[in-house]
Amino acid sequence: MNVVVENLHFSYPGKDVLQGIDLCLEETEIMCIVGPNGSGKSTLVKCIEDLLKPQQGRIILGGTDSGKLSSLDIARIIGYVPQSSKQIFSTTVFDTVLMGRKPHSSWRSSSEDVDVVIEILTTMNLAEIALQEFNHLSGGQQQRVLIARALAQKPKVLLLDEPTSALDIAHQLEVMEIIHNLVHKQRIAVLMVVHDLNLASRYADKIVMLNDGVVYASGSAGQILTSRSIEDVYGVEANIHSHRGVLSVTPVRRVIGSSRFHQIKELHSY
Amino acid sequence: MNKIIRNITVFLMLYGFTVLYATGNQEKPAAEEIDSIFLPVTVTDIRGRDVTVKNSVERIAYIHHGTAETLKILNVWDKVVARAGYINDELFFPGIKDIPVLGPPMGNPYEPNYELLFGLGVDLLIVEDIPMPGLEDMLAHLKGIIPVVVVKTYEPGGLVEGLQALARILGEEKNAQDYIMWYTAILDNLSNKTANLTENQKPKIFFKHGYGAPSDVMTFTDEMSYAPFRNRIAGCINIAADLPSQGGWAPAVDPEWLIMQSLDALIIADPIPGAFGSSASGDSLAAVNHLEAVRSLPVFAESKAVKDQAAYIIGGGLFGTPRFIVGFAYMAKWFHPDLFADFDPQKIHQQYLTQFMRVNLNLSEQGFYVYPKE
Amino acid sequence: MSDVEALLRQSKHLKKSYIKHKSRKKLFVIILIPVVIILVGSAVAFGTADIAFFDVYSTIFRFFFPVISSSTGNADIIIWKLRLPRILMGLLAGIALGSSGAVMQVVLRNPLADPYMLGIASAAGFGASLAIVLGVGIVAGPYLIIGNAFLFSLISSGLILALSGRKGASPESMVLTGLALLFFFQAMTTIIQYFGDSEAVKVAVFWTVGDLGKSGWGKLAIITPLVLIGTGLLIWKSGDLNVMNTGDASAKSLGINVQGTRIFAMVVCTLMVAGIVSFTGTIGFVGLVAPHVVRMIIGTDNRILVPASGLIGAVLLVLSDTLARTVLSPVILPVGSVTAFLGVPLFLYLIMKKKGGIL
Repeated sequence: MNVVVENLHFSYPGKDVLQGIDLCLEETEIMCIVGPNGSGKSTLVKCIEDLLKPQQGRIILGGTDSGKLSSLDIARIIGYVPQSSKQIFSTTVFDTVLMGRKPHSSWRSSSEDVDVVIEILTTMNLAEIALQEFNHLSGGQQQRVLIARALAQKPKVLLLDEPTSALDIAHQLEVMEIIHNLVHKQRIAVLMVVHDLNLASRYADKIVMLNDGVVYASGSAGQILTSRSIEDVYGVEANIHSHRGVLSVTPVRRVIGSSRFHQIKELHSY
Repeated sequence: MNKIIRNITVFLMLYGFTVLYATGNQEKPAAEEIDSIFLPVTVTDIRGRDVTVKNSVERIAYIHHGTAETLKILNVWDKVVARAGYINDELFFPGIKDIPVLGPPMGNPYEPNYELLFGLGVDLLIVEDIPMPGLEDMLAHLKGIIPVVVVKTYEPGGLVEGLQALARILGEEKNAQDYIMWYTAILDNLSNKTANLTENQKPKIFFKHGYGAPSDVMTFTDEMSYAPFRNRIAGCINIAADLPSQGGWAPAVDPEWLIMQSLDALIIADPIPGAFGSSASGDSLAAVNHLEAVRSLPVFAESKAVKDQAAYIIGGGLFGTPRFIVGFAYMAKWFHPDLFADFDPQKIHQQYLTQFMRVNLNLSEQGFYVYPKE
Repeated sequence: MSDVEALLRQSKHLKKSYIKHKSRKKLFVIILIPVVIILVGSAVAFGTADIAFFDVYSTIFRFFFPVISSSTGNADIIIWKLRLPRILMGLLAGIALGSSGAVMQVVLRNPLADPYMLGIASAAGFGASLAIVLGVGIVAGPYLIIGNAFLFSLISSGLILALSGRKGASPESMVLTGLALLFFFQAMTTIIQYFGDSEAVKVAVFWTVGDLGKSGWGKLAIITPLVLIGTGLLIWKSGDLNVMNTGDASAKSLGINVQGTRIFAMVVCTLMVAGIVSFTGTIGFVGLVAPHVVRMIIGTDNRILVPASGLIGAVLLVLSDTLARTVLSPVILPVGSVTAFLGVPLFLYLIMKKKGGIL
């Protein structure tokens, strides 16, 4: 299912966050949203997920305006992985992932629901900790459980808000591989917010770079990740290398920062 | 420079005139004060404290509603400047609604509004000794500022002593003596008749108190200070005499136990809103309904007291204030109608109201305090 | 190939241990039901009146099978009119307070929440005071006070919904509005007491004190359907509450109407608890502790937690009341203090025993 965002505006009282976003996410496509802090990435995801109501613009899910869909309808289409989730009363990993079946099941969870959860837990290597308490897990484990929960929704569109931020490199790759395989096997569309430009360049079919609530540029990794765009958007000098067709971004040490560091050091030595 | 010196001179002159004027005013003799010079009087109160009152008492405050009728007996109601909440009967206590209240109606009386107390220039604070914490703290707080007399005029153990102490301070010995004579005569009359009763001749009674619902079963055991005295004077046996209690107060009694007692008479002393007082009508519906509700409760319906029509309602004014003597009189008559055939408690009550409360209230026409009367 | 086999074996093993894990929890509720029945059944046999064990039950069964010969003395009145209504009121109050406490803690996202947190009891107290002190009420007759208490509980909840609804009915705004109203109604109750006569004030002050002694069959007839339907509705919504436990955004992304569910849960809890408060006054502690006790034993699945908290609440209250009636017989101890006396050691024991945090 494809997702089209048209002229999306969102503002909090006294602060414009999104100022006319247009984008189009195709089926079996992984789109990465990148951009500096405060550029509106998470807000964009929350608008698509219907957690925030945009003041202007439309979101079209597979040809239907999402404004006409109930939250249950949307939950059956979109799986959402938040940055983090705090449970007031801790539940087990199994029950947390089982919540992903909620849009498809009634009061009782059926045997099929349980089977779906078991399949996801085993493929995501979470079976060992399935009966542990969610709140007792490390940040990285919690993030994987939340991804598993979104997968249990069997979504057609998957939204992820910095899904790998708390993961070590092994788990980062593992999670990204799982998502990558899923996209083609189950024909879903993935939109994720990532900070790691290298990860984005490696897995994204399309990268959208946001700056100050507008799309600065969008396209393939090769088109977007240039020294110039990174300098423009992040204010950082960076070298771009290409190795076996994969771009890698290496920021150059900032001289200003180091001189300030020395100034501070001098201040403290008094 | 000249201007500054001139200003200072003008200021000093004005200041000097003001001081002179004020001093001149002070020097005028205060004629009223000379008339009412009062010798210091010292009394020993119920707590064994020596209380010295140096000046004439013109502004009285009290913090427990029981004191109000005591002050009427002494005929000094017009000196009250601050009071307890809880009662508001304008007929008994003219102007009571305009007298500031020292604390919430159901709060701890030993936590009065000190600011009000000091601000009103109170000469004497009268305190009833009730089983509640805080009296010592309050006394410490007021020490050296306002003379405080502790009395216990709401019960037989302290009425006479309290009246006498207050009468000496207030110079109302005659009024106190009149009441004490009347009161002692009634007590003698009652106890002369009930003293010779054998235990078998005394009815077994339950004094039912509560929080308002007919089904509440709270009571007082004989550990309560004046219960044995009441039992002796009215000639009855308290079936709850030995129950476990908090200083004589048993907040909830199991109806199961009550149903198994042989109960000759039931005294219902529940609070019933709007049922009692000088303005309540003679056939106060609230009280009659309440009595009916209590009588038909499973715990009482089959009791001897209810079957013998020996369930009575008594208003809160007839215990917990100096009027307890009237309550005793009604109970004695209820428990021993033959013994007191020519005795009319209502007449006692009427005397109390007319002679000592000095109110114009004809009980055969107005007011509701007990039901049924016989 | 062996990889796939290993995965398959692992998933089979997981399914087995999950089912075992869940059925242990279901078993807890299934065991609780006969425990409650037995407890109620045996509570009837304890009391101040010394009625032989056999007589207690022959008195009860004679009602259904009149052929059994009649028992002696007052047993009939004691069992049917005094003990049973009291115990059943305790049972229903326990169920209502326990289950609504569990729900309130989840929807308000606050482990310290209890059924009274949104000011139900103080609003009820104010309504009752209005009726008692000023004689103002909506229904006349014997239900004047109770009707007023109930109405004001609903008004208080309505105000919370109206005020916090403007802020999206978030748990924080609800708790704060609820607390504000709690103090407001308490203050109003104190203030109107200055305008009443002495008797009325006394009645009003003691009205909210928790007491099961006012129960009777007529009151049970009103309360029973209220509590059973209310608890049923809460259990029905308990699946959604599970998801709400993970936060509003999470729950919404899983298709839950978060605001609607929160309001629904609150309205049901209010109706139920207002009913209980109107007939028994405020009985504290049960609604706070019963859900935590159950969570520590069987975890946080609200589909099991809500009914189990109700049943544990009932066990706690009926047991406490039986002790309250017998320990210092014939004087009855305040049921609230006995509940705390029994519940606190149990609660502390579970906290000490539980590994990791309780939340």
